[in-house]
Amino acid sequence: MSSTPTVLILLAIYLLVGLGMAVSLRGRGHPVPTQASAVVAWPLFLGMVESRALVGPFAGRIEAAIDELTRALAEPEAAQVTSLSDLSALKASLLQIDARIGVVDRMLADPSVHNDPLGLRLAEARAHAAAEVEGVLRGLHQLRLQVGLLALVGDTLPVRDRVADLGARVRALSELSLS
Amino acid sequence: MTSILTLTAAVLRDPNALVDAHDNGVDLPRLAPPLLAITVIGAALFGLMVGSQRGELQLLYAAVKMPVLLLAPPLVALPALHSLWRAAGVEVRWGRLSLAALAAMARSAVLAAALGPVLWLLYSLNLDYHDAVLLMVASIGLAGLPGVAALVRALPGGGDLRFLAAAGSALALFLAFAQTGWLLRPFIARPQAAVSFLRPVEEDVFSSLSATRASSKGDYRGWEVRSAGVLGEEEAP
Repeated sequence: MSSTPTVLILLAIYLLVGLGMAVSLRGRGHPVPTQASAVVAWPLFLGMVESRALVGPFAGRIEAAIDELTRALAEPEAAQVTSLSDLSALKASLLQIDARIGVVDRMLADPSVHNDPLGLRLAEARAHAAAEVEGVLRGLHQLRLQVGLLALVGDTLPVRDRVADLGARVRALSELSLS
Repeated sequence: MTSILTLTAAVLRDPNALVDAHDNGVDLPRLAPPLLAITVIGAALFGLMVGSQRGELQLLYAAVKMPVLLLAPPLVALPALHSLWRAAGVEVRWGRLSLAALAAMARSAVLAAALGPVLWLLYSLNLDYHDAVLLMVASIGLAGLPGVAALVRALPGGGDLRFLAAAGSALALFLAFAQTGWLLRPFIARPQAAVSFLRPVEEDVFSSLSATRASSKGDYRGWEVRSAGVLGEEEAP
């Protein structure tokens, strides 16, 4: 057998595995560009098959809020305010909480859960967690405006404190969700 | 959404900071498409310059194959790299390794594209085939080293055998790159050969190295112009 067909067969197998990875990512709600990337570069995404990353109702708003704040902090006047890894950790924690809210939402979609007393408690806990996430998102928006003030006032301390406050709030919520 | 231009600046200035900022287990799927796009565009531009040595269809062929040459070695070597670092006592998560590899590939591709005009200028001076190949390999090496360095630096600290893991990673990437380049040749067509997309698969890169050593002693067996390969036309002997 000539080696050229062997290479073509191996290439087809590689792309088939990539297609499988793309289908798996589609099932987890990832956008089309990510799915297309997985077809050609699936080894990069192997870690995601193991992890059960789920998307909740606030995922888009969390992404947007953190992205806007990251851009604001990239301004020269905002340098040294806080490290981008702090924001990254905050985002990861928020997305984890959001994923848990998503899990609860899927449970609450079952009508039989509403008649159960435990189901009512679950709905209350969900409402509390969602309100907290809303509060943190509002805080992130205010923080972005505060970063704008830095250009005029130049005092970085309030912004640093605010980032620390938000981090603590999210950690508390995360611990509450786990307890 | 992080723009491609912002990411290009980030991979050039400080790829480690980019990896640190987005190593949270959720940013990889969002960053992978733009980083892959940077790699493909940068490598295709470099391929276009390499193809300009011969012109004609070789322009297109080299531009299509060069992104594969840059992407395939890290993808193939990723599991080996992961095992090497873990064996050296460094706990590396797959997500961080993938992000570091993406940033490294994008960095090398942008640097290769930046070297493109220099290559184009030198090729316009009618370099002979062997000099043209050497110049291409040197350019890829020059662009690839900062990428490999960024990959190694982006991995977590610690580990008693960290140095061995870094050296092993560089060796694994070099071997994968050399063999991928061999499979995807020709990037620069020999003067006597017809333009073709791929040459038939024959032996491996090390057989070529031994033929090169023999030819340097005046023995030119093994350097015969072969059939034109995939998407090429046979030339009359």
